[in-house]
Amino acid sequence: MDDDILTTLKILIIGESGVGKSSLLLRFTDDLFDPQLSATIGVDFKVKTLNVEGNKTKLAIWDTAGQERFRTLTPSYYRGAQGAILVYDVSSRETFAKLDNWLNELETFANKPDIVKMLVANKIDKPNREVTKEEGLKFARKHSMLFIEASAKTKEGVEIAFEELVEKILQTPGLWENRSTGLNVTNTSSPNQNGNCGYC
Amino acid sequence: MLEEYISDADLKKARENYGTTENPNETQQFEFALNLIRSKHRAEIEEGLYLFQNVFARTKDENIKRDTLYYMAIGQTKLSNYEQALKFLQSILNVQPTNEQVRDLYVEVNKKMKRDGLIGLGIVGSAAAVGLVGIIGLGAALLSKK
Ligand SMILES: Nc1nc2c(ncn2[C@@H]2O[C@H](COP(=O)(O)OP(=O)(O)OP(=O)(O)O)[C@@H](O)[C@H]2O)c(=O)[nH]1
Ligand SMILES: [Mg+2]
Repeated sequence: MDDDILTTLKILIIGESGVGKSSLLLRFTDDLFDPQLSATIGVDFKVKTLNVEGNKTKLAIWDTAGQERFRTLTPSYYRGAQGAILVYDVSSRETFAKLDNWLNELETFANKPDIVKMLVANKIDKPNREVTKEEGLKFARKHSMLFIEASAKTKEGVEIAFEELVEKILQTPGLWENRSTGLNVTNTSSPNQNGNCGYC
Repeated sequence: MLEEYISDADLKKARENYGTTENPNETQQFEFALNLIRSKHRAEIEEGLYLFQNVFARTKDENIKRDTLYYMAIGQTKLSNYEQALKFLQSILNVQPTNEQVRDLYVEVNKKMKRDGLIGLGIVGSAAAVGLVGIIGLGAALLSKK
């Protein structure tokens, strides 16, 4: 059953506590929303298979806790990530202002130089918006990130955020093709991969 | 989390860092305990459990209490004290019955316990474990006040 999976991608979700990282993930994986979701402890992990342009892609998604006390723990999960989703809450300017810190951390600890970054402006369903779409877009452009406005509550933008991220990763050959696990287009008889094993 | 380890070098750094912190606050204690619990070495995991116990006792923050119980469960699991671990997790579930992250870990620990064939064996003998028995009751009591 796993045979037709093109590749497995490691995706990371980061951002301040309470911006809705776990809610976005829950919406994406289970199509649910829990208004009383409890704060993540350290790191949580979910798997989902996504079909992007006919390619079955397995996503291993690491949902990190934004709480201060986990700051020494979470960076060890950045290694090997091909994609990162940075989340802020449009109804809280503070979470937008903290994005610089998160980017810094990502640049320090993620070890794939061309990791694809997506900025998600969450909670657009809320009436008390503090950060405009233009501001988010500008920040994303400045840091070469994809950008999308979303609401885990109403679903808006959630699926497309993950899809666009994955599409972009798949279009960035250096990120996955050379990995020994990534080359398995298994319906062809497996060629000898020793020549281009990413770990050798 | 159960299969994730900190390198000896990083832990050494964390220890030096913690050692120079005067009057560490509960967040700093928590962070260091978390590093200890990620060690491959039994003695350090036990040290981490002890420190978490301190954090648990001093903090007034419900979330920190919960997180502390969760990591004590992970530490106990690494020491193969599965029943103890399950009790910690159960005391969280008594308060947050739908917490999926905790439920997932509960299931995982349960599986590990069965695999190791340790059902019913208990964990008498470890000093750390004896100290922690008191905390479970306390944890349940404090958490359920909410
Ligand atoms: N109105 C609204 N509320 C949301 C939305 N997304 C999340 N929330 C709520 O915001 C709160 C925090 O959401 P979480 O998903 O737990 O936040 P988090 O970023 O995972 O937080 P940490 O795990 O502590 O880092 C929860 O009460 C959610 O129900 C959204 O799009 N709209
Ligand atoms: Mg979360």
